[in-house]
Amino acid sequence: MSTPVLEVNNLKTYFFLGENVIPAVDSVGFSVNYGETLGIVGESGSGKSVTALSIMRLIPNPPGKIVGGQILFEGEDLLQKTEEEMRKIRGNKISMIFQEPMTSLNPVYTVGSQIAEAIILHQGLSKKDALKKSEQLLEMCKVSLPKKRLNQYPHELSGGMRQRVMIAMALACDPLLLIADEPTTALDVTVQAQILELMKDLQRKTGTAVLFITHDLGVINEIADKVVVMYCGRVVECGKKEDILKSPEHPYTKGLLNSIPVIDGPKKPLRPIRGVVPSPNEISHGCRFRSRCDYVMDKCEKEPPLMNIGDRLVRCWLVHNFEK
Amino acid sequence: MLRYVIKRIFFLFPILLGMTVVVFLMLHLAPGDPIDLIVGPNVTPEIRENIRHQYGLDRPLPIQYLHFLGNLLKGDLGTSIIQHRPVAEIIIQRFPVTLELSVAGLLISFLVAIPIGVKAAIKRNTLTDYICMVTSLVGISMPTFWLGLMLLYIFAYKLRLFPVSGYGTWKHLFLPALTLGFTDAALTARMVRSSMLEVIRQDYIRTARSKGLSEKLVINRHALKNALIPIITLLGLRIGWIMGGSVVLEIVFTRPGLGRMMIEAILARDYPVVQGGMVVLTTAIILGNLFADLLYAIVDPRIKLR
Ligand SMILES: Nc1ncnc2c1ncn2[C@@H]1O[C@H](COP(=O)(O)OP(=O)(O)OP(=O)(O)O)[C@@H](O)[C@H]1O
Ligand SMILES: [Mg+2]
Repeated sequence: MSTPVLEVNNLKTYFFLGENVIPAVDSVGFSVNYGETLGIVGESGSGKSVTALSIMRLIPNPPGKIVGGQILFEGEDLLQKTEEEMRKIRGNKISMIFQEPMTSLNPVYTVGSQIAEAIILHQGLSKKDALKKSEQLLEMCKVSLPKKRLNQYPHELSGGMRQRVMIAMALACDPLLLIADEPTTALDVTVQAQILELMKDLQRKTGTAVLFITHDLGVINEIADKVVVMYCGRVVECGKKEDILKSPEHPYTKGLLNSIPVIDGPKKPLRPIRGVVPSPNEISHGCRFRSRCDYVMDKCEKEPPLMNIGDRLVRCWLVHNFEK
Repeated sequence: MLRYVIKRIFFLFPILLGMTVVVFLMLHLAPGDPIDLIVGPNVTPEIRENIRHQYGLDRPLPIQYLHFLGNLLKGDLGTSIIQHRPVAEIIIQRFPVTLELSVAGLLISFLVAIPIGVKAAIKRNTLTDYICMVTSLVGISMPTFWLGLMLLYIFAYKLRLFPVSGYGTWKHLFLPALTLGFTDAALTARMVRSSMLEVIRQDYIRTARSKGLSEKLVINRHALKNALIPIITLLGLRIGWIMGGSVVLEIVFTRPGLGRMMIEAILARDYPVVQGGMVVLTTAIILGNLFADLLYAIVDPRIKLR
């Protein structure tokens, strides 16, 4: 098998707030192959964004710090790179789209100059050529009247349009990996569907690998090849999309699936996961999901390791017996 | 953008008109008979009435105002009672002295305050930040005239590096401009710092970093322009403050500006000069505000919609 474009091993990103240490990302690992889409799901606070920002090495420090692990990008550990070397990667080989299209663009610069900026920086094009390329990118992202948009300011565009601009900006330098942190969460459902369609389409054309973060399993179903389910800074389940959506093993994944409505198919009652995500200092030992788990048992006082069943990883004692 | 500019200039007229009413009434409703100021109390009633008629002071107030306004539009601010010269002529001589100091003070203030405010924000809660902020607190608490006197004493009187008084060369301008600039910079630096702290937490700054821009570009290109928007908004308010400051410093540094002219005119009860001086000073402040608003529109593209 060829090396994956991104391989994260044992990543630990902690936040140090006075006496409190918050393990926002705790021993997380996964890999993304060239041209593949990996979905990361989990409730709010499970550490998805922190994982993404760790890969970009953009964790605000203080209070955050990557305290351990490896982030292998094309086989090289990003955690060993200098800030200077990281700058050549960001926006060039790895780029990122954020959740809030309304606030993620700079209000005082035109759309064109914001897209062209990365092209000028990484590809050394002249301003004129970079703007021409920006126009093509906008067209590729199905923005209407691309030439006119170049000279418009973000406040003149709708949310969906701005997210298209963000995507154009992220794809400006033909990255190998695109990290999309809930790119559709802030948008209307119809616009959401259009953006997802666009991203799928672009991925087919460009062959960029995508790390797609969402808390919406419906979106995962649309776009992902593989899925990582995160809970409280831990990976609890990881495998092929079909396997995970059809036959989830971890009680948390089951809970997530039970708490979304099904439109076609037999009606079944919604069963949201009871309780709330525990705050990080409430979890000291044992399985982090046990306070909300329907299958909790004595063994759960000890935290289960990630166990291999089939070609899937599950962190639950329930599957212990089936291991290997 | 053009519409915004035209609208702003259009609104200038009622403001200027209101200002002339206020200046006019202030002097005409003030207690005391202006004739006393012109001739003193020991003249016969006939002469008094004669002079009253000559100055048009026997006519009803609205007529007097219209007369004043009409002359103003012609550029006629009346004649100085003491110097027997047109007030406009005196002001044309004095105004550049005040303007020069105000502009120089503002420039020094911004040149000092912006880098310091930005530095303090980037290095917040470090020694650099504390030093910048304590210094600026001292600057804010220090009265302008007192700092002026201290600088005058040390650099002009003791070290003899600069002239003690007068007007003309950059050496004459340096100390008062530094005084004005420093006290204003103290406040501006604090505003820049807090505005910058607000801006660097914004999502678009994270976007800029995610493009691979250097920290320097992120701050200077993406953060600074946004951080200056509130500073420019407040610039309009502070132009009056700056002009007031330079008027005070004209006394300390014996500069022949509008401020000195006003003080002399008030003491000598030369009321046409006081009136003319007030009209010109307030007009300058109003135009300064307009300038700040236009600058704001240039920096913040969102303003054009409103
Ligand atoms: N800047 C920060 N300072 C302190 N703690 C932080 C910071 N950013 C994140 N955290 C901690 O990390 C945890 C995980 O945050 P993260 O943003 O990764 O969640 P998420 O999975 O992206 O959730 P959401 O769906 O709401 O975006 C949070 O619960 C919080 O405790
Ligand atoms: Mg998030």
